[in-house]
Amino acid sequence: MGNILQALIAALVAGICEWDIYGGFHVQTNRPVVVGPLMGLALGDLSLGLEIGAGLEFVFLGTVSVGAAIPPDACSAASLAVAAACISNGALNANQAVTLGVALASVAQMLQMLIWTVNIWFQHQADKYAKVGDIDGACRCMYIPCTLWFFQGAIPAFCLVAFGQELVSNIVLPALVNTWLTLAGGMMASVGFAMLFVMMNKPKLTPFYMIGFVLAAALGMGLVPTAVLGLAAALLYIQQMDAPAAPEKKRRSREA
Amino acid sequence: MAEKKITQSDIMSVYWRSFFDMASINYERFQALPYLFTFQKVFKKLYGDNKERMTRACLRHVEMFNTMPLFIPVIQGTTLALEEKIANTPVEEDTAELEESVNNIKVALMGPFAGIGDSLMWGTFRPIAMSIGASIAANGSAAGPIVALVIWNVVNFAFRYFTLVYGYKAGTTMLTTLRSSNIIEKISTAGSVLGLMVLGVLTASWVSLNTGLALTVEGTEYVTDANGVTTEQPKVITTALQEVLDGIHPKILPLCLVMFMAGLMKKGWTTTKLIVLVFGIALVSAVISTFTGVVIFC
Repeated sequence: MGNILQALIAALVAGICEWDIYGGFHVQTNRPVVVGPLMGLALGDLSLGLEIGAGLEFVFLGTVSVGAAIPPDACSAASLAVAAACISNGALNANQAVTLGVALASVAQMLQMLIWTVNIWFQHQADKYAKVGDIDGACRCMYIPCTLWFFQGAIPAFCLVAFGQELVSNIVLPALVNTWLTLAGGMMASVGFAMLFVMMNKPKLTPFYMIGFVLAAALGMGLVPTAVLGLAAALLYIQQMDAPAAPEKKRRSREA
Repeated sequence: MAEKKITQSDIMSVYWRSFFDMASINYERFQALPYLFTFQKVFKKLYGDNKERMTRACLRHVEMFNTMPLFIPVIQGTTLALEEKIANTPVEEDTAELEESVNNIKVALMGPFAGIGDSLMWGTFRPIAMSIGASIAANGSAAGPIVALVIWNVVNFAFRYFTLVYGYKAGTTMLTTLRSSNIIEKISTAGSVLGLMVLGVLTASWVSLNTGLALTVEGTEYVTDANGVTTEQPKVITTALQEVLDGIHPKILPLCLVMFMAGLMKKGWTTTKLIVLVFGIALVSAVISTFTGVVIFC
């Protein structure tokens, strides 16, 4: 019975954090760095939660929703990875849990796609009420979709903790799989960063990426100092956008 | 007819309801229904006595709508100002033009704001907040997630409120202001400049890729001992490729990887495909290193 109680607590944490993505408020409890420690706390190992959460945060830092695209579900990745590590009695270490999470993110993403599709039906129900001017009826059609996000996070976590303990505590990853997943985990962040790069980059602006890279890689500058420098560069750059093309003409006339 | 005035409590109702902006997101009309939900209370006040106008108002706001969540309140503010105007038009007058402008302004604003919002908020501000938090958390401190949440939410709650109020006060003039100045272009360029610099740091700090390849040269070495006798001795010189690369520029492999991924993405590869590719490359490298001992990537 203790198992079921534990599973319910895990489901509650995972569900509330997951709900934050689409359900409402967007306070970012859905980020691995937050959901990881919370799940760790719920299952009795805060430090493991912190470690896995931080690890997955770096992997999914750049995966954002752009337009109508659904990114991999970093929240489920973190809640399930931490839960699996916590109930495995040490069979899964933090590194392995991070890579397990990376793989699970894509599975959870499919659940979200399913809900996006189901919600079309609710949208059409709302249309019927809208046509007769029943605003209360139309808005009621939003309540069920709004709760689906909770269950999308909660149900997988419940199942894992309630029924998966034997599975994850007997897990033995062969050395090959270990090498494979660790390597993939290290490279995974590049996908999100590439996505951000394509989204923000224009040929004119590429130098700023180069500057940021060199400052960090060669000079060891941290994120916050570089961000402040970046803000300064941004302010200088937009001032230039308003500057008239006059100075060039002046120089030419002087040359003449 | 008494004038229907939007009060502070109406603004607050729109504000709190706007947080549910993606609750019923779907592939067909995205954030449409939550947009109507935001105005549920206000519309009852504005159109409660006019079924016909209420119906048209409902139909207006179940149209397709999608933008970056943090930029929804500012759009709602402008539409709120318009709705107030419609409600205060005498019943016998035609409001078709005003009503049409509500949808026009939504469509006109959602595109640019999605662009700015995605790069400024999702692409720049959130990664900064979260990586500060994660760096603290990685050292085992529970302050990490708290710091991340505080940084993000100060902006999340304040930005939504102030842009909503601004949108309501500016009303339709906002669209003309935006069109006549290059403010949108400026904000999005500034966001990209800052974002790209941060992205450079993230690339150097959080993508890990090294090579274990080494160049081994076997040869002979002539050694002269104390007695002046020269003998031939075998010698092996190993040069690690990673050292050579680090000599050129640290973290050059992560940079190449990100650029490679970006190139594929520009060619139309989806994120899912790229993730599969990462697993594929890692698998090939892991198999080779396990069975032959040659470490391509580590």
